[in-house]
Amino acid sequence: MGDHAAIRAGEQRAQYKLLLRLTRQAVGRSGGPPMSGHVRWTDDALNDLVGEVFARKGQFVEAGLLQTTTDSKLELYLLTAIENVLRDMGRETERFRLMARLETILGAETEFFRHLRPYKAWRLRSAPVVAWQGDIGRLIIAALRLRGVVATTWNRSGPTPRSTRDAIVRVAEAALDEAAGYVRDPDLAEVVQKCVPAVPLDPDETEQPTDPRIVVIIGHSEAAPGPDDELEVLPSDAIADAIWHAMDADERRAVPHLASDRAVASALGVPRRTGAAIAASAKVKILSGTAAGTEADVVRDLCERAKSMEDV
Amino acid sequence: MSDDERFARFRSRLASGSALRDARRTRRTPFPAVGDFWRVRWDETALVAFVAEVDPPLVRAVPVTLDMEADDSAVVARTSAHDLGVDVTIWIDDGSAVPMRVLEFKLGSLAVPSTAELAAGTTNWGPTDPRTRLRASLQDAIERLADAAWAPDASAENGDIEALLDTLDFDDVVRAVGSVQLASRLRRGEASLTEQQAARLADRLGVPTTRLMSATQPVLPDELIAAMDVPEVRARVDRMAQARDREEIETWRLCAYGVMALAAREHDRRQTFWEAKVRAYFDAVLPEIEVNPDR
Repeated sequence: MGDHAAIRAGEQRAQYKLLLRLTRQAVGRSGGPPMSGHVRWTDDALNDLVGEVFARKGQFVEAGLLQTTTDSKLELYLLTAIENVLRDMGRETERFRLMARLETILGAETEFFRHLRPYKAWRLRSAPVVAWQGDIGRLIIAALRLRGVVATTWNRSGPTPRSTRDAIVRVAEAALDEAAGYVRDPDLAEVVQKCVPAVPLDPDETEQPTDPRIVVIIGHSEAAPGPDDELEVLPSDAIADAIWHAMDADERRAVPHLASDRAVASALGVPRRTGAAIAASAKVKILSGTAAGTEADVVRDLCERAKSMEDV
Repeated sequence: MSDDERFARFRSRLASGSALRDARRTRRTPFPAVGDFWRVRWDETALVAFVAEVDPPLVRAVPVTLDMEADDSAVVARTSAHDLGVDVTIWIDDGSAVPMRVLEFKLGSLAVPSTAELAAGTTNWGPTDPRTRLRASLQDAIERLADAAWAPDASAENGDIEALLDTLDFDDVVRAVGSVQLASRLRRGEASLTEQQAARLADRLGVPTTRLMSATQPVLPDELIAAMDVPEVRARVDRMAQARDREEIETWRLCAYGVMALAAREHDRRQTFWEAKVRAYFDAVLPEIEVNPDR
């Protein structure tokens, strides 16, 4: 950490060097695959990532300079912006895979109707043939009312475990019911991704979008049920695993203190409203992932994970 | 790609931020007006704010972000609607009245008559929407700014000079202030201290200099505080704090006592024009101070 007077003074070379250093750090921490078009995190790849952050976050360097007062807070602000973009990029790759998965899963259910024109979309068979043009927030709100939706994984190859399939079907049904029209694939996949806590893909898997095992034919039902399908109820540690992955670092640290917003704020060293917001978000993730009456075991599991994280 | 090529590309990306960069450099501090964008800062809390109302000594400050999409509580101000050079989100519902003293420097202004003409963002879906947490942190920041104060709280800090001095030997008090007579009068609450005397005594007592000064001085008049709280004066206080490497709040207070001392030399004390006194005080003390605009 250096003296950032040159950066505050607007020296562009100094800003560039700092961003490259933080980008390298963010990439190291994420452990994710390099940008598309690159095989390794070279300087060119890092430079492209910096460009991506500018494209998505606008003038985030100026934003950081105006919203922080110390060098360490500035670095944290910029590092967080870069990490958020890396995470969003990972989710978009995942969303692409999820869209393919939805074709298989929803295609096997009679209440869903597939549209290929004017673009690939889904609607409930009972809904009118009109394009939904609303606000995705409304669809997410409708789907978040459900409980007990959790996915052990989004889209590993092979048959989808029943719990994951049920979660996807229920969430898609709630969202499409709210839409009352047909919804584009990327939008529906985004709702599913936001409303179903899931263990993310391994980076290795995201690197193989052409894996022949995931190519599916619309209208065909899935392959014969595998052993996973026998599981009627997911064990609580699998549910906890999915919820844990859906949580960010603050939410994870908040888990043992969720009995009181104040306790969350003081444990995390954040002000009152921020603490309450972190607690509320963590609670929604736990509630949507668990069925009524099963929270206790899952919360216990999550608390243990939080404690072992603190011990490290 | 060579390093120079990469850097050239980086520079072109920075181009749209040049209006903000210039604003940070020039640090304009006019009297605030409705429709202004300012950088607000108090201690370590800093953000960009839109001025929605000016009602001295307060302004209604609405938090603004440069890198987050708006939800339905906020409006989006595209570059055609102002002179900041980048799209911004104005979090209309999260504004609050804050003292004018938190305004640090002006960044630009809205070019349309009101934020009512700007489009709201997309529906917020609740606690897991990242904008919910952002709004909570903006509300926390605005709340801290609303409490920003530098003037000593009359009820909390004044009137305890006797108790303070009782913790020291009388001889130590005499040595610090320079005379038996002054030390005795101080004990009775009948004398005030110069900054140097207060500093020597504060050193022995282990308390801030301004605490002693506020305990021995008359309470700062509200009119003086209001005259100090305008952005132009704040900028001078900040420069002085930086040049002397002092705490900002300590510097505000020392300046205010300095202005008081200047006013006390007047023959006619029935009416004091505090704005003029404040200006005269800084004109006298600031020329010696180097200006460092890079903060």
